[in-house]
Amino acid sequence: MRRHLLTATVLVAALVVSFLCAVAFGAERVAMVDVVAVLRNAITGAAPANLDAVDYRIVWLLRVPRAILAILIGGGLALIGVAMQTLVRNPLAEPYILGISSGASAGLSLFFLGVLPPVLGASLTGSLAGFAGGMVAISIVYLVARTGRTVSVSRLLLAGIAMSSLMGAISSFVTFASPDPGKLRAVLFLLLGSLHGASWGSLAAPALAALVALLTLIAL
Amino acid sequence: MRPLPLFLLPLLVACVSCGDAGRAQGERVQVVDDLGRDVQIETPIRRVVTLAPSVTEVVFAAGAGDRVVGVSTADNFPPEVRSLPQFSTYPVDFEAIVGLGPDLVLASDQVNHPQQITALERLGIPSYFLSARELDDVPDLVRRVGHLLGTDDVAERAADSLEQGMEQLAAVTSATDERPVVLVLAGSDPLYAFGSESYVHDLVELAGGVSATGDVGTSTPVLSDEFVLRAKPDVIVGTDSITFTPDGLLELHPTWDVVPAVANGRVYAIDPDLIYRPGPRLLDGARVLAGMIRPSESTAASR
Repeated sequence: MRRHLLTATVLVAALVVSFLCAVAFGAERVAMVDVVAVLRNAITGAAPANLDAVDYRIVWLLRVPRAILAILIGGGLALIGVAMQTLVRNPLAEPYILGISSGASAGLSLFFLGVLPPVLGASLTGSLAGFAGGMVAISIVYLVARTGRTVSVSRLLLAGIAMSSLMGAISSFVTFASPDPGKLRAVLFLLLGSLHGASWGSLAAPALAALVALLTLIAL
Repeated sequence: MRPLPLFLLPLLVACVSCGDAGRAQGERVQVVDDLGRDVQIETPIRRVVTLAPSVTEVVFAAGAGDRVVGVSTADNFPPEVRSLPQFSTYPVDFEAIVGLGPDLVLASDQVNHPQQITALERLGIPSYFLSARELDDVPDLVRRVGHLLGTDDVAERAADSLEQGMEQLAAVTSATDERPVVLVLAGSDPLYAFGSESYVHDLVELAGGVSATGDVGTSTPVLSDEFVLRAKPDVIVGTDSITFTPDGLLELHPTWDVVPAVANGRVYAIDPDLIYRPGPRLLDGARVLAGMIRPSESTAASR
């Protein structure tokens, strides 16, 4: 127990340090004094009158939300990892092996390249298309791996790897066959993943998702 | 496979020589293309296939448009090309090209990779690569193509008029000392821009501005929102008319409300064909840019 506590403390400290680094350093140089001034003003709510408008935007509107989003996503991925490893009782299990990640990529690229129509606004439908792709992939994998009432772990892994290749092929083909060459790099960029669009408004949904998942897993 | 019986050899030689005799005016010449490759061509060149829209435009400007027998699916200018056979260049449809029976394939080193074309060489179709790294290279490009295809006079006149047009535009845009900072973007999300090697900066300079990404080292840099906030461009130019409005950019980049171009409503969309194709229409692109950079003088500049 004591060792766990120590590990947790060290990790949380590392998280805080990396958060501060992410806020202090970026593509453009912002003097440390200005970073501190922006943070102090934003936290204490003092009027940002004497602040440079550009520094304020870089630090408070671009870097801080991006760093928080990174923490949320990292935490969410850690939760998924634990859930997967428990599900298949194998420390190697992760969404990539079971085909979920590539299913989500396929769903997202199908949507992004106009094969699937936007239903609820571009950004939300994109996420939903990814989620649906992942669900389709894991459902098929699960059905294939099930024999009678039991699920074989090795069949689950094998089916997952096959599904992963299939979904990867769909993504690649859809990307390649895209009628608009300008979208090719954008899709690639999207599939590689990036936090560059993070804003304060984009934090609520992932925070909620991660929190609900955490509470559900604890309750189970 | 058995070796060819020796008695057939004279027959082969006879065939080769009768082929040569068939082309009475045929003269084999060796030329060096813009990549420094030795290219054997047989003059006169009657059938030309172009692998990039910019190359097509150069050939037409050089007065040899009537030799073009096939173009890529991306081609749309001049309007005549729409009635020509089109073939895919991504990947290159070699069968279609062979079917067109060209005497010469013209390619652009900015679009085509020399390796793609070695397949043509194996098929006995010579290919010639054109290269224009800077705006000032374009008139000479037209002259070179005219010389290659035997339309020297037309090409010379076209190149001269291009050079005159550039000088006239430069005279108009250099009349004032004010040099607005211009950010030309190839994409809005992610923010693709043009690096220091691009001729886009020449265009911006000719149009009377200073390019914001002229010092960025990589060829197609991805910019950060921070970079744009710091660069404070007075004018932002893109190619997508839906995104490149002040509101369209603000939706994707909410922090840009303080960027002068966005705050002052100076965000414009330009026809990509006018700036992406290193050919004679770059001058038109520079004129349109000049109109965006200095709206008050646009009437003078766009003539």
